[in-house]
Amino acid sequence: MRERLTKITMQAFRGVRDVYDIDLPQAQSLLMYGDNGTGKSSLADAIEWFFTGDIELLAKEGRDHAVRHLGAPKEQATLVAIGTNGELGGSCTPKSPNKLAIDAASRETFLLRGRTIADFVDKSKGEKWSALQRLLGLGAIDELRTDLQKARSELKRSRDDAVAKAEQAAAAVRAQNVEPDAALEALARLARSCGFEPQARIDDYFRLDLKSLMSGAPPAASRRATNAAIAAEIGATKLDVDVAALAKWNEAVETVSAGDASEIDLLAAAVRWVKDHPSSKTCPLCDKKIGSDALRARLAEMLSALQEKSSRLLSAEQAARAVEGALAAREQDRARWQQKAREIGLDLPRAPASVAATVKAAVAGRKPVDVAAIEAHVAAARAWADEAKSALASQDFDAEPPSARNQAVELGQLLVAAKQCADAEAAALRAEHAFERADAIFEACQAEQKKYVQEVLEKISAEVARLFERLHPLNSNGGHIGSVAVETWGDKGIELAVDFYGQRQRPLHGVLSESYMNSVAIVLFLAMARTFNEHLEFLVLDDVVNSFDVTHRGRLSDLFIEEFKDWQLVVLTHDRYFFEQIRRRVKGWATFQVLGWSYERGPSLREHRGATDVDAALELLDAGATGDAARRGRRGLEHVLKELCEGLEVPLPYKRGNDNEFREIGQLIAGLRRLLKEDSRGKAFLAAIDGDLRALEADAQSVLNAEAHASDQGASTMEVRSTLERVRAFDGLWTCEQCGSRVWKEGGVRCRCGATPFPPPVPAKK
Amino acid sequence: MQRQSARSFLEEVLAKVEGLEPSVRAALLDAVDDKPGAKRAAKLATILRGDGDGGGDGGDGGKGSSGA
Repeated sequence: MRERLTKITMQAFRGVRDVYDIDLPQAQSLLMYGDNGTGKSSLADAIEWFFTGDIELLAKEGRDHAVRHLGAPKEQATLVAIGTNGELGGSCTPKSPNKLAIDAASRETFLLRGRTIADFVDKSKGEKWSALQRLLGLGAIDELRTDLQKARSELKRSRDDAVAKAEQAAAAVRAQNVEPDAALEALARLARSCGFEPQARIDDYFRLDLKSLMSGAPPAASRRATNAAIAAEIGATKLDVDVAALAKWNEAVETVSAGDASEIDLLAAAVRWVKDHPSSKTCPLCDKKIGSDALRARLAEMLSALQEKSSRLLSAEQAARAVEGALAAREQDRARWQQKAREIGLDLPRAPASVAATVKAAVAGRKPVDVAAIEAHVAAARAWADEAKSALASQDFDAEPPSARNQAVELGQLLVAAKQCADAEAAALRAEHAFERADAIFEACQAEQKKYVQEVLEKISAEVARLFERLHPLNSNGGHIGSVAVETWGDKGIELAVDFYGQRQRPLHGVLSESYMNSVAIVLFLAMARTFNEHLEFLVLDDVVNSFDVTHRGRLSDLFIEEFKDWQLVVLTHDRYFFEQIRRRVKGWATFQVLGWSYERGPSLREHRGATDVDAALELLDAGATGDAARRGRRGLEHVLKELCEGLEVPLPYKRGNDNEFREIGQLIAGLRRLLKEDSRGKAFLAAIDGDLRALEADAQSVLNAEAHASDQGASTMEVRSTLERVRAFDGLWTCEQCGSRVWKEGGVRCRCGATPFPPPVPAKK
Repeated sequence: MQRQSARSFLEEVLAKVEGLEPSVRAALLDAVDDKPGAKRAAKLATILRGDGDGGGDGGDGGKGSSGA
């Protein structure tokens, strides 16, 4: 079951000095509006801290201690308690993180902040791959694939050795002028010559008493057979080694610079240190303050970035070790042949000096191998083989008359060679079978992993493309930007791609604007959460609309409300319009406005029970607070006008920075009037509402004039009420009765549902 | 979308490999729970070679049989 939040409690935490609760008894969504610096983000911090054990921004800067409010009394412990509608709720303190919640959330996506919105989009393809790996738990699968690859390589080496041995053993049989396939028939013939019955199996011949026929020194025939067998084995042995693999090894070693190696060692040492000092709060590398969990996560991330290099090195190392194995096997062969030759009275030439040990030491020490020396060694080994074969061919053996003893010796020689050949063939067959099995499993593993990743990427991409199109409909930009997708890039990389004016572009940085990039980041976040979350059914969105214009803020609010109605959303924003756009359309959400923040009291919240500023002003009026009601009504009128001017792109004189926030009502009305006058459809509409606009201008000067109320010269209750109704009617004029959205000029100059056009119909005057 | 564990992933992989002896399959799945690395790789090789626990061809009479 996926869980939602039902309560958030902060105590001596971030912007909260004492205790602060937010109750969501129905596990409903939460919408919170407040100016910058009023403590909204403390709520997101609390959720992040509880479910991850860290606040990323603080951890990055080594300021974990900043979770505690500076002015909190000593006896007040820093604590966050979270209630959920499942089992993940509980509390956490700096020294006792909630492991159950952290484990459950470790591979979930639930928090997006405006300040880090494009973090994922900005990652390199390798870092994106690592992040996806973590999200999908692909690390364990990749480690399994690597181990299967190592097993396959080992079995391939075994197979190659076994096949080489079988070829040598077959050559020894052929040295006796017998084909290995015909060994049993040849043994039967020799057995008859010695007076024995032919046997059904090679092993059965070992029961025959050949020794009784072979007393005395070995006859020439035996020595001749041994000589021929050695020559045949030398002739059948491949002397070439894979020198190219050694060159690749050298290349890989040179790519991994000394810096990398020391970085790996340093990181490995740091990982060990973190393991041994779980409660330490200081980075062993730079002495900065940092939580051990954050440090562990950072080290893991850095190590994973080195993984790709390490994997290339591993593959080159395996190939180099295979060469070292082949060189060692040939050196052992030469020693064996020399020994056998000595037994028949022949000294073979001195073998070339060993190089296998040198290669082994170089690979173990991650040092380059002297490829030229290895090539020289192979040439020397080839020359040695030629010399050895010449020496063997030049050895004389006395002619001996045929005898039962000679026949028995010949039978014994062939029997040993045939037995070794049969055993070697069987071993080679088993080794081949094992390798085929390993190869089939590894190939299936590769294909399955690729398929799994592909399926995941296709699923995410389909979702990302669909959600992106909701934010940027194709017809709104001529269909030139779309089809956003997450695609594989190389073996260990993924990247975001987009169709940009007919060309596929990846990554996106080269072609998309900041707001488009942020759109991608938001839809990717939503798609990831929807695709993979197994434990959490809430999303925290902390000031994510900063780079959006009013049209896209509207689309984003539509997307949240319509696409994620089955989720619990925690939307924190300092954008009044975004707040209003969502608030107008949702029912059942907990809606708060942060009125302010003080060091002693923390944030001060007011619950918005679905009321507009005008509703709130009327409540104040009923309570006898006429001046407060007028001030609230003025604020309501300002908000409506600002929203209209932004939504309708009213041309207003440029103002620097925040001064745009402080335009007077008169300026806003003048701008609106100018826009309507210049629009062919707006002229008649302006004529119909101009009287109302004039009345509102007059209201702003008199009834809603805060200074007048402050000096006890304010308007009467009845006048304020009448003005508030006028503001309400003006606000309602721009809102579709059916869908609750504003009547903007965008998208066919209609509201979102299309029922109300621009300009909106003017109700008949009563 | 359900995430795959290494074990469920290997189960799917092995289901696609034909002719694998049940004992080898079981031994490979047991090895998934071991710590990843050289030791596990060697164990996997032993299992696949068929001379470790759970492996084996069951003997096909090839050893010491006639070379004919």
